[in-house]
Amino acid sequence: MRISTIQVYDRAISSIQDVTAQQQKTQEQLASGKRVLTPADDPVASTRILELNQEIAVNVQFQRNVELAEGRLTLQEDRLGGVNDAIDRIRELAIQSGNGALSKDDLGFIATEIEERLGQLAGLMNARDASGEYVFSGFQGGSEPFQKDESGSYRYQGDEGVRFVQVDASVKIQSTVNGQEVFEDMPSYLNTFYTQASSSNQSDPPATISVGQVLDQAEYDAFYPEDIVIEFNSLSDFDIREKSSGLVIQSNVPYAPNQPIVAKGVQFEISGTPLAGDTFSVQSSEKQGLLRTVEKFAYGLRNFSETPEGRDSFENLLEGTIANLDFATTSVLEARGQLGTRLNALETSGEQLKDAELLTKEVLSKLESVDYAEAVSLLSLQQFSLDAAYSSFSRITSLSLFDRIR
Amino acid sequence: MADLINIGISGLKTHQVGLSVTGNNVANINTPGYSRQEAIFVDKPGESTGPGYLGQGASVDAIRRIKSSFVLEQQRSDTTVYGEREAILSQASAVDNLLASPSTGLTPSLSRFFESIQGASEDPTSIPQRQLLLTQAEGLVSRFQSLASRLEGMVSTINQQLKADISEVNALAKGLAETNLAITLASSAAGIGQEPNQLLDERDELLRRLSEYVQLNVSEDASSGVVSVYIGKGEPLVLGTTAAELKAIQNPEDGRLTDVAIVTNGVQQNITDSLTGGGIGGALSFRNGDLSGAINEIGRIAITLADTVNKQHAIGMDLDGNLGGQFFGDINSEALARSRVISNSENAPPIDQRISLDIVDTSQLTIDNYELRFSGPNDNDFSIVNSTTDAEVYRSVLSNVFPSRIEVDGFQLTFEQGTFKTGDRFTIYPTRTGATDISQEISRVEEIALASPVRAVGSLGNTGSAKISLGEMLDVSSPITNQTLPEFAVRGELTPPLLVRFVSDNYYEVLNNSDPSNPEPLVPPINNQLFVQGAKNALFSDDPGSTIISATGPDTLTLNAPSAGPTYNNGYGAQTLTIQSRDSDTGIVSVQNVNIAANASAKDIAASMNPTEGVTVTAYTQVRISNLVDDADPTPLGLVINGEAIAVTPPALYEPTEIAKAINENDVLQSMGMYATSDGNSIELRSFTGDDIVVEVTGVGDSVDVSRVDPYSAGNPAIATQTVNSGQGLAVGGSLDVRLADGINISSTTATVFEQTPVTTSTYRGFTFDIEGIAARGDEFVIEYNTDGVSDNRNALAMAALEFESLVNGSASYSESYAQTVEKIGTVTNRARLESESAKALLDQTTGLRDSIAAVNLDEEAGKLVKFQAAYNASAQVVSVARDLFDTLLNAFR
Repeated sequence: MRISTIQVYDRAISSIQDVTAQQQKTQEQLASGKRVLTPADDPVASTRILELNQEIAVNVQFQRNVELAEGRLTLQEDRLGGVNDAIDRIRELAIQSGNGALSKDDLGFIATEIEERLGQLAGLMNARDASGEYVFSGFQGGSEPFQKDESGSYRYQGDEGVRFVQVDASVKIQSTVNGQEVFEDMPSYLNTFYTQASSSNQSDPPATISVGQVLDQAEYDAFYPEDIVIEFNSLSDFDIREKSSGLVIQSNVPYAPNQPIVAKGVQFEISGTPLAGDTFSVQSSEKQGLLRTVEKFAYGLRNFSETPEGRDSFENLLEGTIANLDFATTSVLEARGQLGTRLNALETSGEQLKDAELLTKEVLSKLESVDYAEAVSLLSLQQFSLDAAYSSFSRITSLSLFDRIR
Repeated sequence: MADLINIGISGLKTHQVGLSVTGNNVANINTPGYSRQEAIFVDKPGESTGPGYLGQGASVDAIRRIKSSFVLEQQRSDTTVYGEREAILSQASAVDNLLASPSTGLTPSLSRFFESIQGASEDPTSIPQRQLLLTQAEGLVSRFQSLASRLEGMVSTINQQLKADISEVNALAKGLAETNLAITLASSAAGIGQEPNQLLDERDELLRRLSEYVQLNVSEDASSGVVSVYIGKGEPLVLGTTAAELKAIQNPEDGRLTDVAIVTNGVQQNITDSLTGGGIGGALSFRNGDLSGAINEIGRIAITLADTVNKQHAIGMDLDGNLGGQFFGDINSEALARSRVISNSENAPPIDQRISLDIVDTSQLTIDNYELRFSGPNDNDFSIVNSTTDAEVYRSVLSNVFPSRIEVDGFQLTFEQGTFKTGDRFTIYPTRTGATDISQEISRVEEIALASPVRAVGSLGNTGSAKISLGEMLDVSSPITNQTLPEFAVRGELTPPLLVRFVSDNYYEVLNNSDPSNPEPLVPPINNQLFVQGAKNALFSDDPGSTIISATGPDTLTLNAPSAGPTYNNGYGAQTLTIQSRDSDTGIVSVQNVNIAANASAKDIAASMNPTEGVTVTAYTQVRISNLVDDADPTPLGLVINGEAIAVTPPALYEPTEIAKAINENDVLQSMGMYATSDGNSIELRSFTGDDIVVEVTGVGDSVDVSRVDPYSAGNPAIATQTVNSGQGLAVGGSLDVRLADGINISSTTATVFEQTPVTTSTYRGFTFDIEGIAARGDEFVIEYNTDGVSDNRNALAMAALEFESLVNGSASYSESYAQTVEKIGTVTNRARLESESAKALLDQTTGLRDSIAAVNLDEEAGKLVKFQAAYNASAQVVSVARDLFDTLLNAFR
């Protein structure tokens, strides 16, 4: 076949260019450590690489969630431990106060410590995390969960909200507990109640109802489990009704702020200026919160009367208090148990996440990373062919018949 | 002698030409398109002499241009293919690098956005976390926008390139026409068989250069050597000595695109769609195909992301206690909706039409563009055609009432106004500007809705162990009417707050808890719901189309004569109900009849209706017994309820509270699901199952009043009251609440228990809660607005979960969809690279073939030079010999 001179040059140049381009790419692969430089190099692998990178990013976020949740749960666990210790100390004091030889003054000293402990308990239960959020408030982390109302008793102001944290694509772990569950929702030795002002009351500032107490347990037990509703007919008087049936218990009771109101064996106070139509309720309950138990005990210690009846009533109180403290211990221990379980689950999730991350990275590196040995040997091969192309170019082009014509 | 001189001279002349041609070949070795030439020598015709014909020397017959028309044609076609692949490759690689690079691609921003939602969900009150989320959202929006603007930038680069290519083609076409003219002149001037070699080389080179831009169809006039060039579907670019002109024009469907038109004799014709091959064909096909697809795909991801995140965010609650609202800008704002439909610039006036496009279902969006065509024969006949597949997706007749709406492939077209005429065309771009248009709506960290607006609290007074779930938000506005649900109409409140109360261990009711000390029945009511102990009981329907019908029976009560006993009739008439249900997927309506016998109890009616799918009926009966009168004769007042004599011992005989207690202690009545309460004046007696309640009175001269009560009004006022005297009895029928799933309605030809067309009320509340466990009578759960719920992260978790859901086209997550786009462009680039390489190899081969035939070889020319030089020398020698001979002859005569 006939070959034209221009072909000789063109071919030599174009093969040099080809090898140079290949060498350039190998060099880039070596420099970046990546086999797939652009999706066009391997469209399928590059999609997988994007997905795997995404997977790793998500995985890392989940690991961060695990760490944060661990911190959160550890904080709760720590506070609950403190609550446990305080309960133990109060229980000791309660047993100590059962010693019949103690005088009213002695009991007064115990009451002082109990009141201290009450403050300590409330402090623990109103714990805040590093960013100032109340830990045991449910969803209402912006406000203190246990606040004293007008009558000086603690009342739970939070709700039953709990938060979950995502620690894997399909795994959510509860990262908070609420005060109601741990410190309120526990059995009571005796039937008890809690009070509430209706949220639709019109008085401004809202009239309030105190936490109240059971005055005559037998009478209240007979009425239990019905609820009581207090409805104001005017600024100066109100009716007391049974909630479920509307049965009137007392009607047109004159109202005086902060004066004890007694019905069906329970006593409570209403203060402020309720308007006609405002309502308050006394909900029966077989549950009593921890703080309430301690408050009642302190009250009993302070108001101990050294008569046989007084002694009897104090012993009843003591018996109930110890039982309720045990219920509280159980509830707190149960919550701590759950925290432990969750911490375990978090640890497991964390480890799985780390394993998955490693595995994903391995797959990624198989897909994405360049095989250095192969690339280096390829580079030298390309170097070699380039050398060959150069030398053959110079040899071929040095041949010309014109050089021979003399 | 003279002959010999002449012969010698002819040899000199001939080889001089040979040397010149060779020299010319050597000189033109690097001239593009040059075909080597050779001088064709012939011997001159001989002279007849005695011994025979005597040769007269040599002459140059022609200077021949060595070429192969076939190879040239092949080379042009290979050039066209290579030009096309190169154009595609250079554009596609740019997009390829853009999409996959971590610094310009979408994936990193997308995952950072969702990571920051995860972070915020872990600590929803943290302002720094919220700030980070806001910043990442801004980053995501700007990444979408910069991607879109880079891709749009590539569209305008291609437009610019097209314009440059067009002017180059015009210059070449003009040159070709001029060359044709020169060839015509040269051919007529020169002798037969003589070709204007240089002009022909020039012509072939012009054709080759033209073929780099577009596919050519070349026809050559064999005699004159004049060529005509056709492009597209046979549009003449060069006809002999005249050249048409290509022109860059605006695409009539989409003004941002440059199209190619050909101007022949002043007539302009758009030939964009028929141009293939070459740089122009490649750029056009990439721009209108893969590039447009990539822009649409990224637009679709942006639209789907904005829509789904917005929907989830809207049902959340922010740090200030307000409902979430839009996180990203509204995808269906008026301006955006109108920008998605573009009137074809060739539409006849008046151009007064306004059409808007709302995206209604992102899971159905395609990445295709569509065309709306009013294709006649009547002005209002129209069809919608998918521009990618060319398939007709909708055909109808436009109503004359504006606005008129139609729904196709996840979008809704609204014809707002205007005169629509046969021939009008509109281009529909559902997704094209999605990534450009995405914007961020919220600006304050407090506005991020990480919480849910409802919460439930179990009462501390509960004696059962049932727990209420945290609840799930579904909507704050009705998906059917698009109106805000009444529950969320008042800012910062749930209207009304709800109270779930267990009226027995197995039945609960849901009440309006606006006044917690006096809860009222809801409108529509949720009375007497069965609670399955231990199971998960859903409180509310999650079906936005669910409705309820209530029936409380006639407003009168009828006494039955004693002889009628022991059966007492409740007085309910017979009725045939027609239950129609429309399948929402297929649209098929099925009809079913339910016959209700006369005097059937509510329980029986419920039992006959409940088997129908989508129909759930609760039946219950409530009566009030009051005004207990005893005439003080020896026979005391006695009550017999459903055949059970109520035993109350004096003196509590007439104490309603005692009677209620006695009823509750009756085992038979208890097993029938009856429960009584008393406020001290009257007795409220309920049957949870909807059995008729039969009250009989014994005791001569004694009586009670029995009332049917309205279960739907506060305080349950009496609807009808009947005095039952001694020896008489009265059956009171129950009430029915019929819950209907979406698409089901009930009608009847008569009105007895139910109206002919009973009023249906929506029961959809936009949220659901579950109660699970063992409940006890009196247990209460309050469902209220999540006031101060700053620590709630339910909505954040739900938003974070969107990352993994198959939302784009219902089949891929955001990042998967993006990865698919990257893969698609990667494949296109990869293919373009391979095709470009193979096209180059082919072109190299053909060029080699052409060169091997037509290009100059220096060695060959060197050989010829030597050869011609030698012959020239020899011819000179011949002349010299002839001269010697002549001299010899002259000397002989001296």
